[in-house]
Amino acid sequence: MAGNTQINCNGGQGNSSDETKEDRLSSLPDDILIRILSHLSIYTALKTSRLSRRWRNLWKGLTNFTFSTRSMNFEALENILYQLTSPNIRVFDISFRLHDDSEQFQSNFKAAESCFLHILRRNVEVLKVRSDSYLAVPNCVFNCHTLVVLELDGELDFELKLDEENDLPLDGTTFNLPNLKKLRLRVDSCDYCLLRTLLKFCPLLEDLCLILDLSGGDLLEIVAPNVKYLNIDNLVVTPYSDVVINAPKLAKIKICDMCSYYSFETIPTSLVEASVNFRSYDDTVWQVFDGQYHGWTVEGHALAMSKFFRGMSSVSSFKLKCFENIHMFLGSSNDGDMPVFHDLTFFKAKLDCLVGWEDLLCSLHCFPNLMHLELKISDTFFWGPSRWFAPIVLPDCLLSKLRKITLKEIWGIRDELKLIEFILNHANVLEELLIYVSTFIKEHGVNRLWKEYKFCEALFNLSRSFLTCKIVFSGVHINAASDAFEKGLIGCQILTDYMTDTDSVTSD
Amino acid sequence: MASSSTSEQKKKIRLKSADNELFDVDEDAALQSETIKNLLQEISGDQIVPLPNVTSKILAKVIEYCSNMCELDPIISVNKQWESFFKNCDQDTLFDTILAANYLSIKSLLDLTCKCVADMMKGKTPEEIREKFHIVNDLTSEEEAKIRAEISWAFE
Repeated sequence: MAGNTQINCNGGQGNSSDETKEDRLSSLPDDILIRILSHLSIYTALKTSRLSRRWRNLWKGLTNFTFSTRSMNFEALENILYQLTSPNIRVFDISFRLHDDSEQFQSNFKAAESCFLHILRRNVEVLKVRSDSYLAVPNCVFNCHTLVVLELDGELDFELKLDEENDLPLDGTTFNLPNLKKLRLRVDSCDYCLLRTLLKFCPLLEDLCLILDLSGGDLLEIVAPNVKYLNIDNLVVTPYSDVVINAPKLAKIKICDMCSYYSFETIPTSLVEASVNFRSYDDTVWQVFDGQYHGWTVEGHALAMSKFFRGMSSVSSFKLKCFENIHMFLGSSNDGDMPVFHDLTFFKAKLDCLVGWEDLLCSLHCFPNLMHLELKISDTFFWGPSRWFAPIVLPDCLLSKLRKITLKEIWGIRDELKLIEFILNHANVLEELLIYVSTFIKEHGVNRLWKEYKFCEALFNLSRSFLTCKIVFSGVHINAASDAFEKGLIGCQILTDYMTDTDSVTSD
Repeated sequence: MASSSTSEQKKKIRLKSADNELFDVDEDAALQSETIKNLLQEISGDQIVPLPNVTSKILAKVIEYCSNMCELDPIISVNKQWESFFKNCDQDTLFDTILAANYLSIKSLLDLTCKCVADMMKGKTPEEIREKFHIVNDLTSEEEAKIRAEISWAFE
């Protein structure tokens, strides 16, 4: 759809240096030049003061402060800040890429505090700090009326101590972020209380992104009445942590975790998009973990999560990555009663092997109005491709709703062909079937080309219940589509440098 | 010229460029410009909106951009296409578009074009930037040395 917006590049294309020798840039008004400088890091902007008199002091008008540095030198940052003439610093965005570890651990609250106080006084709206090490966060950061976006990435080192009784700061610090819309924080177990307290003082918060460090047995409660977007990334593989979400206005949720238990305190009835990844680690980590940990099992986890999934049944787009048993997550729990996702039109999942397909078909019963299904078949290199068995039950959406199916990580083996044949024979309204071969295939050259060619041939010869269904194949060497298949000839594009000319060829 | 002709029912606005060329533009597209929006409130009925600061060549591009942005999904790929257009066009077109976007008050276009200029400056030495944009260095060597010292001071 986006492809048809062709931008007309007539005239003036090409040799830009041949045009005028006039200095068009310097003749732009100050406010536009400052706007241009605001797209640069403060370092590059500063350097422009050497260009000419015109540029001498321009950078001082900046209201954006973006900087990436190797040392956590807040004094130097403040020095630059003092030179900026605008009363407001709208954006303060710094990242510390620290290379040697020795000095970073000693968080310098004093220097950081002075620098942060400076920008808070200058009505900062966007404050982003990234650090690959400990980051000193003075209390003043949590008391700012103008702040709209606050992102603190890296291991935060808080000066703050909370009263265990009421979760309020012991030193009498006030929290107040009345205009904050977006918050991104990395929190470990010690900071849960802080997070809970903080959220109480961000009444307008809409977008919450948490990078967690859940250790076993933790309970994290997220109470955020106005949050629409919630993004949770748990970095550790320790089971038996609970995350309770109380965000009734949630519209989009994204979770990347391994084995924590999630639940909704209030069902978010206007949820439209969900993306759940319960295998955020690669399979090697999983192997070490061995799917079991003091009685924790994949199945047990899936069953426990079925209620959570039920709470997401209003979504129209759902992405799920888990270890097998999608349908267990969907809640074949005790009563065998599956939730129905009436509005779901797009579902993306990852299956561990072809056998998972049957399980998926069971799950599709929950999605009666599904239009587009996207599947990654497997990282089969791990277990080797598995066999395909035709399932017994057929979901309605496959028969009468699915218009587009995308299959990724295909190896081009016979059993996959059987699966595709099955789809084509039953999907009565399917308009497009897109097939992508596995990115793990290492084989190249003529052999691979020939295999792909034969696979395409077999593919395009399959009978289809919906005759106008178009099949598109994207391989290592070949791109081909069924509408260029005529009388046994495949019109295809040879992709790689396997041959010198990469033009379209037709062969038989 | 470059205005979209997808639907006849849509309300059209007639714009007049500096060189007196007339453009019929979909209302949605034209209203992306705050300036046009304000001008429309001042003039009545179906009058022509005069834009004496924009040439027909640039206005055509601007209208094409605005129509693109109005399409169903103003998605990233369209933006990317425009970005690559502005990165490859001649500097006159780029700077004229910046001035037009500024005058017409089309924030997204102004941001995009300014970003393109910024990207052209990134990773370059002051000498390279001067050469790229034909900037004449009118600083004395003493002044330049002084600035250099100031900059290094700020970062140490």
